[in-house]
Amino acid sequence: MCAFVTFKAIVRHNQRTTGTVDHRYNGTGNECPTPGGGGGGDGIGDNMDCLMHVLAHLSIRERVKCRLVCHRWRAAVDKLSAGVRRLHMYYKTTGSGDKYSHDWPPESVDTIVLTGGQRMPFQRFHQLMVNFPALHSLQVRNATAGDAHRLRDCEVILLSLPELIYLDVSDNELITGASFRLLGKACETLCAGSVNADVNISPILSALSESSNTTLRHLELKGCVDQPVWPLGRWRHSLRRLSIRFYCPQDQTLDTMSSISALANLEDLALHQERCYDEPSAIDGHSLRTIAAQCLGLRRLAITGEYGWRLRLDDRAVQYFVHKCQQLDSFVLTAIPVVCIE
Amino acid sequence: MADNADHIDGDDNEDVRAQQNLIKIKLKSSEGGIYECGLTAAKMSDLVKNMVESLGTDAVVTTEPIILGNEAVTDAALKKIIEWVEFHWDDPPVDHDFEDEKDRRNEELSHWDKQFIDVDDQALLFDVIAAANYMDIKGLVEVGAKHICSKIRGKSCQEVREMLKITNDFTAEEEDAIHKENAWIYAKD
Repeated sequence: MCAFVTFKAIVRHNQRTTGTVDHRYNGTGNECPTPGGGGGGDGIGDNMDCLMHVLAHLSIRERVKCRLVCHRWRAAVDKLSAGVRRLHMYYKTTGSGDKYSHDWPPESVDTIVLTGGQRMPFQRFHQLMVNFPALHSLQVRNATAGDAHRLRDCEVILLSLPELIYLDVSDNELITGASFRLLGKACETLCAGSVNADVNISPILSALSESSNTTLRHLELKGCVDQPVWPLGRWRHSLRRLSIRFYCPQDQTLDTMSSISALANLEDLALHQERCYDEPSAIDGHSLRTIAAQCLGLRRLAITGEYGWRLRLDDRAVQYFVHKCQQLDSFVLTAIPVVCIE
Repeated sequence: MADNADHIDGDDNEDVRAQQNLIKIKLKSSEGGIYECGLTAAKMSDLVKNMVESLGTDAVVTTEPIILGNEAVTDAALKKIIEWVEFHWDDPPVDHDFEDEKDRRNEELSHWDKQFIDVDDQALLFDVIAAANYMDIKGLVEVGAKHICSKIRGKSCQEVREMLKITNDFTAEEEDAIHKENAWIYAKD
């Protein structure tokens, strides 16, 4: 219910936040178990609950080291780790060892965050699925130059882990997306591209449209937009959230944004334009109207850009939009304080 | 004072909290010692808070002391705990929804907390942490945990054992096995 949302200018930077809490103490009880085994001394280790509180404050390395102290401590560390569902892996060493081997119950891990250093052992991706049967979510960060020859975009990932539901390979300069034609059928969330590495969104979308995937619900893309039409029709019914962080080549205004209107079930749309100081916005009154006429279920819309951009939207386009999309409950716009004139 | 104590109970207003802290309640340790503590301060313990809420403030103020039966709540530990809550009761509340847990864990202890928790008597230190855990005073458990962590960090297992007077109850074979399991953490960065 929103008859007329006030056309307010809100400057907001749409930074994506990634979860950082990796290991969390999963304890439930408040009560403190009495010292077990008849009490063998006044140690902190007599109280499992307290010991776990203490160990939770240590880094993973320190914590794993503490497994060697005594039986109780090992039990406490393992109990803490049993709740681990998100695993962070760092690859920095060279060598042949399997650096992600560990002794925690791998059945519980469903999310892995891979951070590359010089070399990420991409040839081992197929082992991930074997080692972590519950894995359905993968983030890859900082895949760097050393991986280039083995990586072949993220072909290896997509071939080895066809059942991923969530895949985030954004902000990796090496992963430009040509291999997304291999995207698995199960995938519901994909984050790809990079603004800093000047990745072009067009090849990503073209590759995606060749894939067998028709179930994508959430798509997040970053990079350069230089294509007049986006082939989005494949996800006409499935896609709920679309988030694009982009820039346009200079002196080029394309009507690309109108192609978003193909997504009839879209609920959440975020368009963040970068490098647009003193540039016209990619979205204009016409494309907003087109989107409004087709995506009637939109709940959230954010059109943001850098301060000083020339937002090509007028009052009437916005009012038309608000009138059409009755479900709207959040509307964020970056504009110079007074509404821009088309 | 007890008359209007009930109706101001739910109010989080600072003045009200200060005023409530003038109301003293009695806490009884597992060793039998009885100690007075301000109501607002005592309610930093979720255990006490729940009791006060279920019994009603009047009952708590006028009748028997609240018995803290856990054996970690010794006289000395309870005195320390009261000292801590009486210092911290007017801290701004921690908003768990908005604060990054990791940030909070890495945050340094305040000077006062450091001095407070740095006790020579290790048995007392453990009692304080265990008692705070029993009484459900999250802030104090965290102070204790951070203090012990700062001592553990960078030490070898043997040093940790010596410091905390823990006997190594692993057999040589078990130790070997753990070394193998742990091998991945020794990989150089």
